[in-house]
Parts: sequence; structure tokens; C-alpha cells
Amino acid sequence: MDGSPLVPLCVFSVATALVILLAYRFASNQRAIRRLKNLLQAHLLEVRLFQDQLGVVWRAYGKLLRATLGYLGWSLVPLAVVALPVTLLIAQMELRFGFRPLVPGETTLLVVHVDDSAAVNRVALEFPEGVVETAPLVRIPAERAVVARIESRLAGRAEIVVRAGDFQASKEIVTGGGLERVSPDRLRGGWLARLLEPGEDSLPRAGSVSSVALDYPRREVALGPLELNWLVVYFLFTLVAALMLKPFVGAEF
Amino acid sequence: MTRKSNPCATGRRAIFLALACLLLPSAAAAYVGPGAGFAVLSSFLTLLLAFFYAFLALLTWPLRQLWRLRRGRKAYRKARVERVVIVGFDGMDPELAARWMRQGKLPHLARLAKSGTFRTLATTHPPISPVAWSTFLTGVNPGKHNIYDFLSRDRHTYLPYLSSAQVMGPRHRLRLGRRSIPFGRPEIKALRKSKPFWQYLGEAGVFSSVIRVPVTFPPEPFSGVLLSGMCVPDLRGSQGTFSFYSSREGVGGKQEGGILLPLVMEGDAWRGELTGPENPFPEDGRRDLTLPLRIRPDAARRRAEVEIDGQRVTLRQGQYSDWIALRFRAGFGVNAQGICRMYLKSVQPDLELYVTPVQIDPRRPALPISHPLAYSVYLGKLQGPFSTLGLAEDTWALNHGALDDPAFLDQCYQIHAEREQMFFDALEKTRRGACICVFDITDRIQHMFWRHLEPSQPAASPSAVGAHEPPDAGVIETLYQRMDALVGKVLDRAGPEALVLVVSDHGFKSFRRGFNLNAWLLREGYLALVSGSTVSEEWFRQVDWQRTRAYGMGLNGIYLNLAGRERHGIVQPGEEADALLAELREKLRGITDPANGQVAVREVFDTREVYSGPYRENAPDLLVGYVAGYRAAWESVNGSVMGEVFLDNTRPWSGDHCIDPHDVPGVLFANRPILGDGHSIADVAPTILQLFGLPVPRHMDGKPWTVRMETRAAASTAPSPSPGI
Repeated sequence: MDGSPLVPLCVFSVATALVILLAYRFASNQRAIRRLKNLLQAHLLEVRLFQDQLGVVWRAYGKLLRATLGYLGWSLVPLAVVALPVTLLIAQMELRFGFRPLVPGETTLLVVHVDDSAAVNRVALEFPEGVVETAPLVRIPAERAVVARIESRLAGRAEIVVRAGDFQASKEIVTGGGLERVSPDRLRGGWLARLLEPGEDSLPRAGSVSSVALDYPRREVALGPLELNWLVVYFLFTLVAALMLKPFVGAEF
Repeated sequence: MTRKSNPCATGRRAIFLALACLLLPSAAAAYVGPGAGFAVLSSFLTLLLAFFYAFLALLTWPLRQLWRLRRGRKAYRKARVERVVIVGFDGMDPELAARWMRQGKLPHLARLAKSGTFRTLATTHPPISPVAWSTFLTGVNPGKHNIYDFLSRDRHTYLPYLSSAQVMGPRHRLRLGRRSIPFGRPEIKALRKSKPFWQYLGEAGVFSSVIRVPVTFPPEPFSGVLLSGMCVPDLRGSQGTFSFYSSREGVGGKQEGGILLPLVMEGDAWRGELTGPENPFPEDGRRDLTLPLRIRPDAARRRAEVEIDGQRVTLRQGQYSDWIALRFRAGFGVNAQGICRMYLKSVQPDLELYVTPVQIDPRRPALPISHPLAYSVYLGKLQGPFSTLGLAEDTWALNHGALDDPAFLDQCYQIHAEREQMFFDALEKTRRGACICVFDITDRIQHMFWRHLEPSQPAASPSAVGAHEPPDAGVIETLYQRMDALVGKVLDRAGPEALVLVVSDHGFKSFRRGFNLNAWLLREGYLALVSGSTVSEEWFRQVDWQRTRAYGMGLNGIYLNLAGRERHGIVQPGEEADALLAELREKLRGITDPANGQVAVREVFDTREVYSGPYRENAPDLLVGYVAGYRAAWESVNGSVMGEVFLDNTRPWSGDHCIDPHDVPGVLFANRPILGDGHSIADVAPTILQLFGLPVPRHMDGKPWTVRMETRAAASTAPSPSPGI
């Protein structure tokens, strides 16, 4: 897999568009949506056609607002249907497209958050082969954080061990190129933390470490002359795909 | 060391937003994909556009007000009225209205007659809708607006063409192998001359809404909105061609106003083809675009499923479908979009399906049918697709038995409901200015159901077309009552300050017997056929023009075959022509029907005497003024020469008005007293101009009425003018 996320983003966008179109097709009141869209267009034209008559324009404007609310209202059901799967998908995609792995020789920050300021002094780090500290650990009791500047020199996946007294946990560090799956944060918590940061297991609730974060560089997606966040590109691609697939699925949105 | 912000924050925010969209969809929907994103985006764009328009409207409002004041002052400074509402009922008859008002069946019209005005309204020569409504909107006689009938004749070919507009294909074409690719848009030429009164109003800053007034196609720009009426073609370019499918053996062929098509069984379904517009890229001699049609009957449930253009429509016997949007694909990305309705006439023993003419879709008009172009789109989006064809009520389908009486009535009232909706929308938008709407239903139902008023008519006999339906004498009465209710609604919504006029272009009479004009001309030696022929098919196919001195075309017209005017003219202008005209008038005037001894023609009008204006030379030379009960026979109207001179009319089309105009005046109702006598349809335009304080152009033939514009309370105490019926 090369470094450009455009092709896989396209594939995900088309798949997402299809799922959402199907949700609209089968889980929404298509007739009502079509009717409200027509009304929206009619009231817009009304504003233009009768622009010399302010009373008509203002009434049309009120009808526009009402139709817009109605239109959004009818979109709620398909939105509810697709919200969870698409949220999970976006969480997974964030791991691939949101950040890029470190390049060998690139420095970054590792931030460990603990529960109380006293625990800050008990935090110790163990680095795997190929990962070195390039500056002494910075302990910030006021923020209950420990910050390490590190450099990764070898490509591949490795584990940084975090100790805080008796507690021990690890944080994955990924070095190399391509669309490797990277997890910037490891959080303590239950299923929600796991859902939102699915790259690694959650930190145990019993320990004093609440999060370990690795400052991976953000991945920008080149779209012509623009460098965009993947989410923007995904959104645009899904819109385009949905518009193109709309006649085939027969969905109105 | 400065702590950098967490790089994961953006992604997490996105995820949280996605979850939050369940609760706050309008804010976060964009993050859950295209559907939701598009919902929000398009709502946002809509609102943005609306804000933009509103902002622009507000920003430019003072300027526009100044401009309007500068122009409008001319109109409103001397205006005696803020708003005029004109309800046109095509063919409403004063005698019938008076009869049912006397019986208390038309309370709203009776109220107008009591506190305002009820008069007869003189119609035009001839009393035909396109002629009379053209006079209504221009205030001039036909010699100045150039409309003399539905059809005019080509002087070179003797063939007919639509008198109001000509639609021609794009001028330039590129040949690519066997294909010919057109460039540009179709050209539409308006043939009606003279300016409608709403153009004068617009020039003075008075806004008008004009809904379905006849002969307003192609729509002309002015200050207001207009939806074209009578004469708007269907997608095939005709004035309405229905399709009737039948599984019965031997069905097929063209009929006037429609095509009968056989169905072919294929598996468990019947197969047919719906014909659309002409192919812009004709190839291999196939000129028309078509769509395949598959019909699966379900005899037990008395319904059928129709598959057309990727859609499945379930039809119940005896019911119309909703409007069905169709796309005829011509290739090269070019397509024509139209709408039609289907009516399942029967499922067994034979499957019979009627399809309305494929009409221009107002939401995606293939030809401009409104001004501005967006107005039809606006109406289509607001109230859904609606009938756009000029002659929308399919009288031909009933005439040929493709529809029965209830189905035709149903169609008429469906179209009327669409019209009412758009009219009341226009009324709401036109708080100041003129709002004009013409309702055609009165004309169509009277044409087709007069036989129910007169059970002794030939058209009501058991052998007549469609005579299987039991007569219902109440059809026309119910029609008048519904129009009366409509007038009541108009009066309520227009308010007491507005001037409300209810007008019709002509009245109605029975059509019992047809006078076969061309057969008479043949018998009397004025028209000759090529040797070996005893009859001529339509449009004079077997007529020998070298020996023909006069011919009849259309509903009332007689043309001389004049040398120097007609291509094969043999009658010399001047003395010979004058003598021939006098001879024809003399012979026709008072001609009697041998079957009953009744006079069939009261008067024959020389158009040099009844018309004036620059286009008089396009008019027929003579107009036949039939006596009530008679009209031009069907055989003669279309240029056929065959059959008896007098014939029974056995078609459902049993009421008519193409007779002596003095026998079929229209109605004039108003919510204000209108003084004087001799009101004519030509007077409406100058009256409206004068009421808005504008000068009446000198070329107008109509004379402004004296309208007493006191408030209603005062008007109601005024002495009721005599209705003159």
C-alpha cells in the first residue's frame, strides 16, 4: 500500500454512500422528503419571482424555514439508522487516515497523564530498541503530566512501557511509511473509550495512568493544490458518490 | 516545555460529533455521511440562497420602489382600483346562468347580479375561443390580432397550420453519417398580433398574474407572471394526441386527436409502445422517440401493473394514475421530458388502457410555457406536476370512445382542481395589480354533455358514440354550481376593495345537425375534384384547384380561391370576387335543412365588413353564421369533401358555439355596477387600462365601461341593473 490515501478513501466513500442511500431509500419517507425538497425549491423561486412584493418575499421566507425544518425532521430516521455504523467506521478510518507513522529519525512527544500530581514523580518509561529519549523527561505536576521527547530510528511496530509505581502499561509506537494503522491515544475507560480509540486496548481502570498519547504527525490528503483533512475529503467524496449513485438506488435525499 | 495540543483532538471531535448527531442532527449531520451531509448542506444552501435573495430584495427595495414609484405613479396616481380580478369561464352561457340563478342554484353569481352587474357580453366573429380570447386580451377585432379560428391555411399548399403559434426545429443541423444533429433550440413564432393589456399595465409598473388565458403561447415577456393556456402543444408538437391501447383484435390506426394501438402478449404481460416527441437525431427512418410499455393485468383484482421508463405503476380499473414523469432519450445526452396520466378502462375481457397526450413537464419545460420560464417550474414544484397542454381536457378521447363519460368528467375536474390551486396562489401573490385566470372546464363539459340536457339530440340516441352511458341531465347544472362556488371563494379572498369580473368568451347552444359546407360547395359547382374522384380525403387531397372557386376550412370560414393570393387561385380579385362573394352569401343565407325544413344559416358575414386592421387579408372571406342547433359538419371542418350536405351529429361533442355570434354572447358579471349597454368582450382590455388610470391606445376597438367603484355597501344599495337576458 503506498502513502496516498485517495484510492482507499474513494472506496470507503462509495461504500458509505451506498449504505446511506439505502438507509434513505428504505428507512425514510421518500415521498415526504421529495415533497419538501420541491417546496423548498418552490419557495426559493417565489422569492425570486415576486421580489418586488416584500410581503410575498417575507411570507416565502417563513415557508422556507418551515420547509427546511420539516426536511431535516424527515432526515432524522435515516440519520439514526446510519449514525452508529458510520461512527464506528469513521473511528476505524481515523486510525488509518488521520495520522501517519513516524519517519525513522523523526522526533515526537510522548505524554503520560496520571490521576494525581504525586504520581507524576513515580512515572518511568522503558523504550524498545530503536527508540531513544532525546531530552530528559519533563514532569509537570500542575497538569499531572509527564512529557518525553523521543526519536524513533527503526521502522516497525514496538511497545513503550510506562510504569507508575506498581502499575505497568504499554503504548504502541509505529515507525515507517504507507497507510499503517496508528493509534495516537491509549485511554483508560470502558467500552466508550475502546469505541472511540479502537487502535489499542483501554488502560486498566485500576492503575493511576489515565492516558498515554503519542504525538503522531497529522496526515494531510493532497487533492489537487489543496492539502485537506481526510474527513473533508471523505465527506466530499461521499457526497459526490451519493449524487452519482442516487439515480441507481432511487433514493431521494 | 510547551505542551502541544493533542493531535487526536480533531478526529475525536469528529467522532463525538458523529455520535452527537443523533441528538443534534442539524449541527452534526455532516459528519455521518452524504445523506445527512447533503440534507444539512442543501438546507444550509437553501437558507443561504434565501438570505441572499432576501438581502438583495431588501437592499434593492428602496431603489426598486423609487423606480416603481416613478413608473407606477403614472398608473396608480389616476388609478380607481388597486386590484382587478378577472375570472374567465370559457363558454359560460348567459341563458343557463340566468335560468339557474332564478332557481336559486347559483347564489354567488346571483349576488353579483343583484349588487353588481350581470350582462351579456358580445362575442367575436366567429365566436370561437382563440378568436374571442385574443380580442379579450388585446381589445381589438380579429383583423388586428390575426386569429380567425384554431387553424389558418397556407396559401401555397392549402394545408392548415395552427393559427396562434408555429414551433419549428432548430435552424441548423450537422449530418454525422446517418444521423443529423440539431444545433440550438426550437424556434417558436407567435402569430397572434397586438399587445395584451397586461403589457401596457406592466410598462406602467402594474404587476399582473395571468393564468392559462388562451393564445398566450409562446409567452411574451412583461412585468408579471404568466402561464400559457390554449394552444400550448404536447410533447409531440400536436394539440393533444392521446394513446389508446387495446388487446382486442383489429385495433389500431390514427384517429383525430389520438392513436389506437394494439397490444401484443409477451409472457404474462401485454407489450406496447408509447410514442413521444420527434427524434432530433433521426436514423433509419425512425422519426419518433418511443418508450416500451409492459402491462401485467390482474383480472381478479381489477387492476394492472404498468412498467414504463423504469417505473412501475399500479392502475385500478376506472381510476387515473398520478402524473407519471417520462424521459424520452434521443442519444448524445439529449432527452425530452414529459408527463402523462394513465386510465385503466378495462382489464377483461379486453385490456384497455388510455394514456393522456404526453405533455410538457412544467418542472422541466421542453418549450417555454410561462413567463418567466421559472414560473411554471415554481408552480410545478409547489403543487406538483399539472396539465400543461392547451386543450387539456381530452374531448377527442371521449368523441372516439377511448374514454367514457365518467372518465372524461373525472379528468376535467382533476384539471380544474389544478387550475384552481394555481389561480388562488396567484390571487394571494397579486395584492395589487391584475390577476386573470381562464377556466376551460365550462367549455369542455358543455361541448361533450349538452346531449344530456337535450335527450332528443341525435348524439343522445342509442346508436350514438358513447351512448351506453345513461343521460345525466345534471352534469351541466352541477358544473355551473361548482363554478358558482368558485366565484364565492374568489369574492371572499379578493376582498371588497377589489374589482371582480366574471366573463366568458361566448355562450353555448345545441349541436344537432352538421352543415357539410364543402359538400355543398361541390354540389353547387364552386368546388371541383380531380377527375375520377367523387370524394376528397381531408385537407383537400383530391380537390382540383384549377377548377375550384371557393373552399371551406375550419369552423366558420369560406375562402375564395383568389388569383394572386392562393397559389392556384382562379377567381380574379375585384368584380369577379365581389360577385362570387355576393352569390355565395345569397345562396347560403336562409338555406334550409331538407330533413326538417329549418333554416340552418341565418347570416353570412363578409369579413371586409366585420374586420378592420392590417391582418384582415389573412382572414377567411366569408364567415357562416349558423342558426342554433347547426354547425359546420365534422366532415367539412378538416377539408374533407364527402357525404350529405346535412348530417346528424351523433358524437358526444353535442354542444357548440361556432354559429351566428349574436346567438351565443358570453356573460359579464361584476361586483360593481357597470353602466350602459352593448358590452363587448373587446371592451375588457380598455376598461382595465382605464381603471388603472392608463390611457387607452387609439388602435383598440373596445370602449371602456363606466364602472361605479363605490364600496360594496354602497353598491349593494344601488338599483340592480337589468341582466339583459
